[in-house]
Amino acid sequence: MSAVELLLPERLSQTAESLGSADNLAKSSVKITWCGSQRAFEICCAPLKSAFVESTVPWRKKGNQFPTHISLPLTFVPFDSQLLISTQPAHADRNKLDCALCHLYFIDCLDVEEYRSSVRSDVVEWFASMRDAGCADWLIIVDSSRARDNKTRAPLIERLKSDFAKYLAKLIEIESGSAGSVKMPALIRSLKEMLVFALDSLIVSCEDALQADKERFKELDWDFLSYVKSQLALSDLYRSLGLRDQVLAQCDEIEALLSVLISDFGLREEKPKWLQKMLKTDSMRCPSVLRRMRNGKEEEKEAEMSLLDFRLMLLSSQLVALLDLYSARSRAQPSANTSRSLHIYFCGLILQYTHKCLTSITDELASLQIQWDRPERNCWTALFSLEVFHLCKALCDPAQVDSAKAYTCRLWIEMCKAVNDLGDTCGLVPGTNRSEEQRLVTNKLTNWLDASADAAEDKTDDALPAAKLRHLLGSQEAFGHLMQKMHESAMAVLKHFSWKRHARLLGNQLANFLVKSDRLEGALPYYSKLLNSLAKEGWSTAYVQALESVVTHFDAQPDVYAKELIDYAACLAVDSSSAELRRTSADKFIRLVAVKHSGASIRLEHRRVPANPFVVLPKLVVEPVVAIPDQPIDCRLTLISRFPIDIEHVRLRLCWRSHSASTTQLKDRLTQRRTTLPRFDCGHEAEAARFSCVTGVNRLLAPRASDAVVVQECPGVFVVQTENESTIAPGENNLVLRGRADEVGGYYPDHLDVIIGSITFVVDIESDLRALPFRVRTEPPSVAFAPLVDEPLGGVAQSFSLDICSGTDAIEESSKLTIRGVEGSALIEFETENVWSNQLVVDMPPLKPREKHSLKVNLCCLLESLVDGNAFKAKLKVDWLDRSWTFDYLFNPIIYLKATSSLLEDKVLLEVEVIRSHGEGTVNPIEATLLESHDSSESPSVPSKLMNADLDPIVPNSRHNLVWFLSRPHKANANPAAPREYRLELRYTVGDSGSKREYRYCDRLLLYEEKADYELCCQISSQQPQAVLCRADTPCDLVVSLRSLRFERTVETVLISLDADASLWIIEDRQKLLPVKESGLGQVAFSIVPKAVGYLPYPSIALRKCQQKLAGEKLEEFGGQMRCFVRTQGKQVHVLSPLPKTTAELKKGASHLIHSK
Amino acid sequence: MAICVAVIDKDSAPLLIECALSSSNADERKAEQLRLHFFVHCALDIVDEKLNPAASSLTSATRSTELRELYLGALIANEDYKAFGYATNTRVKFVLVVGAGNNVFKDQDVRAIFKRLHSAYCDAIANPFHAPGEFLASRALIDTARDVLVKS
Repeated sequence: MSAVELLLPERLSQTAESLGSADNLAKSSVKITWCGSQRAFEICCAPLKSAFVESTVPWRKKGNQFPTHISLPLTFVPFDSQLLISTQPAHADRNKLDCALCHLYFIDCLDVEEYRSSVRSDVVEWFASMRDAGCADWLIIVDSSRARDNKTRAPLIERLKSDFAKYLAKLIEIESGSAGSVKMPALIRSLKEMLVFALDSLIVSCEDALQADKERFKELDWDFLSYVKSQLALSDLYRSLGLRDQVLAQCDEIEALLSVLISDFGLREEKPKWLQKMLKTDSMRCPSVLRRMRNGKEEEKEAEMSLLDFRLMLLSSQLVALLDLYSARSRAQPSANTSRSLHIYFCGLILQYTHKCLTSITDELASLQIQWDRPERNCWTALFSLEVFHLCKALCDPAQVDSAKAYTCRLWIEMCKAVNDLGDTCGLVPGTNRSEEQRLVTNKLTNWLDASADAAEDKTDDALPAAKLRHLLGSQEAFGHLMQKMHESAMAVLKHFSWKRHARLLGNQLANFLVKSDRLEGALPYYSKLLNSLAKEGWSTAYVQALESVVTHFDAQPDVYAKELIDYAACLAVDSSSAELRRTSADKFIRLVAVKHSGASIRLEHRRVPANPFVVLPKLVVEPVVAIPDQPIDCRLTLISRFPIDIEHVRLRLCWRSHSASTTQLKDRLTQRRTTLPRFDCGHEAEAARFSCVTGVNRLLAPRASDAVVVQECPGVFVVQTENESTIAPGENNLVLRGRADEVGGYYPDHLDVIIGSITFVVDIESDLRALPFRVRTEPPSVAFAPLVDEPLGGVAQSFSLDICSGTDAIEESSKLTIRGVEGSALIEFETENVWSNQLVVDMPPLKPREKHSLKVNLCCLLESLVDGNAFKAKLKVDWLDRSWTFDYLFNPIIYLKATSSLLEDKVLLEVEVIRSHGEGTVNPIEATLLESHDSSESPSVPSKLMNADLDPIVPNSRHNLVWFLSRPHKANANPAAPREYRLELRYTVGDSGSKREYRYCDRLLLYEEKADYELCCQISSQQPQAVLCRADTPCDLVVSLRSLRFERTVETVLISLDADASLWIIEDRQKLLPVKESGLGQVAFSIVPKAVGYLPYPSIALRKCQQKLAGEKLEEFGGQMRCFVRTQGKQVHVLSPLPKTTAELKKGASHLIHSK
Repeated sequence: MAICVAVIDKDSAPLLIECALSSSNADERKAEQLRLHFFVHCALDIVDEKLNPAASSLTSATRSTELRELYLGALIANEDYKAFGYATNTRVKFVLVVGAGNNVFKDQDVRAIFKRLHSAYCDAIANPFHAPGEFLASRALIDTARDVLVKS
């Protein structure tokens, strides 16, 4: 049962319908005057009334597009000239709404004589009144039933027509029967038309007058109350016509106008008179809205009223109009579903209107600085809210009206606050002594309620809220009971409408009341909820300030709130604004943590509010950075304590979490906490045409230590901790934590547990530190083999470094390590004690974990046969402990060779060019031998004759030629086409001439000795007449002479081609055909131009076959190359400088230069 | 004159609260500050209600209009204060508290103040050293908030 229900009866007898019923409203109807025959009037009166009640009349108001149907309840009054709507200026100030809309004159004559003698003078006088007032809304009704019976109807009617000849349409004849029946359709029709016309004119006239009056609002002597009364009178007319919407609109218009006027005039120094009058009284005559609704008309008659009274009068008018509307609609729609929605709709409207009134009063009290008596105000607020809920309850429960939840919540909050303040002001807190002053205030409020509402004597339900409130003001127990119930109900409603923060704040208010009532145990949960709410949402300042005021209450129940007490003490010791409170809280904290609690230790996990008293600086150092399992690990960190005193007996425990969680438990937690939650919430809202990307702030900051309780027991986590208890001083503390990691993996610091007695503070680690590289890993044995120089050389001994590491496990027995070259790659020889072999075997001793062993290895990569200058790849393989490592290296040859041979008749020259290309140091040839290979059964080989026996040192980037003279085969059966095999051997040293290490290069050469087909001889001569020598830039002739060396000479055509360096020679035609005659001779001349001065080498000459074109074959340009002996190969020609230019040529050149410029 | 300016993050945690306290006594100032903090805190109930209207209570057209409008209008009032609200697209809220009798502030004035605060807030969070969700320590934003309290 809610607090409102406590105050209200179970059955609401005074329903909204009764408040909005016709009986409760001002009696207003369309006024019609009558005059003339009493009998005729009595015959017509009832039928006319019933005819207008039963039917509606279409009426189109000025400015409206469509007509509305109005009802015209008629009221007949005897004629009075004061009721005429006058157009005369003398009668302009008369209230038109009090006037009659239509005037009727009834004539009931037997004959013309009777008319002339007794009626005519009266009707003429009545007509003169109409004419004088300028009134056209009149009718003369003639009951001709008696004249008809007397057969005198015709003369009578004729006489009337003659008297009112200009107004024949206003003469209406009716016929009444003997039984009182009457036939008057024409009268009804004419009366309706006349009334609608008159009503239209009246309303237009009134509205114009009101508008004109309203436009005077800036005048200081303008009377707002008079204007409002006129508006309300007009609204009464609307109500009588059944235009209930229009009535409410009128009230709304007044309310809006008042708000605008107060907003405008409130800021001015000079206020209009009506406002000054309103501000003079700062009290309210009648606090009850319900009472005002019932007695609304009496209120309106007051000449003066305060702003508060006026607001309440206006609200009561609005509510009455609203309920009138509700009654009409509920009668029109009686079905259950419609009725329920109607109840909810009108309940929402009532809440909206009352909330608006309350807000307006609050605003105006503040803006106009009206000092309303505080207890009276609280009393009114409480009564107002109770009455509104009482009224709403007649329709439906306000908690069901979602559309008005803001109004409902606001009313509940205001009511609770007012009642709470009343309790303090009137000394109604149970268990407290009421002072005399408080009793006086209470009596004053009680009298106010009694006098204004007559609550004590009133038996209607309207008075119940006031009576109940009055009763509560006299009893502390009842008030205490109500206070708690009301707050609980309010909190339930607020929570129902998701106003949770307001609910918690109301809880705090209730808790304060309970503390004052000496019911501390009931108050603490409300305090705790508020603090938790503030902490959860990060309201640090409010949290600390609220905590300061309530923390002492928690000392009453140390066992129930053990954790909270420690937390609160720590928070105040750190964040309180009072130094004294900080110190006392710190002492209290020390006392509390020293107490052994029966349960498990208390963990205070990381959150934003209250802030943790400990902070880890981002200066964490861990050694070693890469550890092996079970290796001691040292962590040095700096911990900041925000406590104002030393904290003793502190143990620290730093938990490291594995990057790759291995346990299901850890995975589950990570899945819940991190993996599934995105860092950003992105989404597109189609209706708003908006894309939003919202940061999950908490996820970024990751206050994750809440899962530390479970995590630290997981296998994926290891802990380093202080070895002994420490004392943490205020400020920075440098601490060393030690531990061992068992599992292999990458770890990051997750959180720090600061353990003080029975409590553990979980300190979060800065996110930057989570990137701290720390790994625990096992390493296998490893071998590294690398040259000591950047680019190793082939053909000379090179030093390599062999680094061996045992890894993280010890190698307890001796082992053998073998290095050899991989088959298929270059040959490599290794040196072991000056002995070279194709593999190297190293005896490895037992090794400790992580022990390293290094040794130097000399090796020589053998040169490939007649290598070119490019680097060649060598592959090495190391075998150790059933493991293999392969290394690839590129070796640059220290020398490389090029061999060419020259044959002429029986003589063969073999020329070997030794090119010294890579590396440093001189290559010193010792001996070069060339032996012809043949079967061992025959005579031993004789070394070929080395033409240049004196071998010079070959410096880097140079060449050296070795030329052998080879003997021709002398065996008769030797095949001249078969190659002859020679064995070349070159012994050399590298470096200084004193170097003892000698190298030997061996190779096999295959030499083909084919005879040349032709002998070529060249000669260059100048084309200048009588010139012998060539000059640069002067064309010369190169004459090539050919002689066949074949035994059988054939006639053929050969192709002579020239080639030369373009910087030395310009050759016009590079190829020419040369027919060989039967004599075996031939000659051809080329035109060449020397481009340089000095001794130039002859252009090189080649001889090719000339292909013969066969039918259907595609002719290629050149045939195969033919063997030839160029006799002049290597010969040079002396070229002189060009001839000096003549004077004319010089001038021509100068002129050319000038023109070119 | 405005009494309090608050910037609240999407999770309803305060990022900045600046108050213009009228009392000179330290205890009274503290109590006034607490009242203001509670008032702003409670005003978030209405902000949440406006930002997350029940599906049944609004038509789609109304909802889209509500969502597009950053200015939330008047939130709540009591006999001492009244609050106005503003919410960005990222659900960061701004609350402006003025005295209950303050009729100087018109709707367009409050909108202008909120736009100014919003702009200063955007500048503040553009600082690469600002961690989202932390209290705003931007001098420019604090100056703007104080300027609103003093000049408005």
